[in-house]
Amino acid sequence: MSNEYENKDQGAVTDDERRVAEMLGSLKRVEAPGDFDARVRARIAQGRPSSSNPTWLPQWVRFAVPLALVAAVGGYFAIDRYSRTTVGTTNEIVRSESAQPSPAAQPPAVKTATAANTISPPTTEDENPTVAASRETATGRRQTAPKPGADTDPNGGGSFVEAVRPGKRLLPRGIDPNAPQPGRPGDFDPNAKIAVTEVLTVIGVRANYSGSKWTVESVVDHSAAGDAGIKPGDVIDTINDQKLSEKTAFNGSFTGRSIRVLRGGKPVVIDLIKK
Amino acid sequence: MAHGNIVSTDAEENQRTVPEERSSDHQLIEATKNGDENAFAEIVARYRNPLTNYLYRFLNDYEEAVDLAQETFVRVYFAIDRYHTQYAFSTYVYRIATNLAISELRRRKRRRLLSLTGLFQSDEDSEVEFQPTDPAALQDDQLADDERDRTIAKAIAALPEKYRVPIILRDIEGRSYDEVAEIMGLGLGTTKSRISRGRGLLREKLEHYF
Repeated sequence: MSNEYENKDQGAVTDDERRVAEMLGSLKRVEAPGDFDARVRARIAQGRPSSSNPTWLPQWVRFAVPLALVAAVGGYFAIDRYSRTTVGTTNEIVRSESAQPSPAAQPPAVKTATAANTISPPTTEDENPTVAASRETATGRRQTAPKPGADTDPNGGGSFVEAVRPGKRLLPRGIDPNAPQPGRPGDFDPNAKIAVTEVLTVIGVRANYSGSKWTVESVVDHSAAGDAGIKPGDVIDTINDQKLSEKTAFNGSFTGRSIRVLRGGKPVVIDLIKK
Repeated sequence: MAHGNIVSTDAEENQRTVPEERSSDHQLIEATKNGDENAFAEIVARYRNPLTNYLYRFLNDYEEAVDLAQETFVRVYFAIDRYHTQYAFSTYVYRIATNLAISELRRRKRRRLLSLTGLFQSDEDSEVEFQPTDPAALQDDQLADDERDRTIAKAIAALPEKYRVPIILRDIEGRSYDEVAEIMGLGLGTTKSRISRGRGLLREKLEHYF
């Protein structure tokens, strides 16, 4: 039988393929049972196909429902974990604020710690944040208990962001904190040379070098030189007994001790140390 | 696995759908649409054996094949208003039967996957448990033929779906290449390629019989 149609439209096939086709075509056929028609009519009489997939339920629902359930459960735990973390952080802050006693009502921290150790029964920190904070003080974990009269913020002070910010540098009054700051003392090179003009400027003298001599033009009021009595017109002869030239330089560790000037041709020695 | 009513291969009246029968199919469909129950009974009588045989070779399970063949006719009946006569009715019913059979196979796979005990049970219908029988060990000719048919049936059932469907339609049901391509919704070249590849796989599995 298979050869009949094999030659009709198959075209070129190998001998192996032809033998396989003939073998399959020679298989005995099965027939429907005798009650086939009756069973078909009975199923039709039931009114609808006995589909394993109800038509009212879309196919994608079978996959979407389990996925939605997994997502819901996973989302619940994720939100729960996140909320616990957030509440914990908030509790920490509230506990810190509660732990700060008011200046009038709270005794010093040491006394509170003693009371907590001797009187208070064991309790959780959530139940009594003040006691918990006091216990922390007693164990030395909290070292900055406010003293009576200290400047405390009634609205609660501090924040996490403020706490982790690097400390501000304390600068003398009048120093611009935004200006480039000088390095630390160790950053200076003690072997560096200091020109004579810089030394004179530091002690408050503005001098002009002409005629192979330094002549004072002006003196800053209330400066070291002004208070020592140096006056305009003085010719600076030596500083720390060192003769001055145009390019005289001092060591980095220079300390002004004395200065000798010629006033009206007469030498006058002025002691800078006294001033 | 059930082996149903094995009969001789002389049921030629249902082997192929010639153009005259197709037009007759369409007339029967129209009569069914107009409420003629006898017309639908004639359709069932015309296609019940080819469909049962096709599904039996596909699933290698007679009871399941009969059940799905009946289900095919039930679906045809309830969707008869949506049937378009631009396609041959035989293509239409084979396509429905193929989809039902593929769904059934996937349902079986899911059952095997979900069944914990299934991991330790031998499944006669398993596609991977094909073991050809040595024909030399069978002395009786009839017994040898029956055993050969069962071996071939197992080999067919062990084929991947994409090769099994066109092989059965073409070499067992005798459908033309064009009709097989229409039933599968594939191009003609792809269909021929799959049939050739399926025959090659069967040749490897059944080399004892060549």
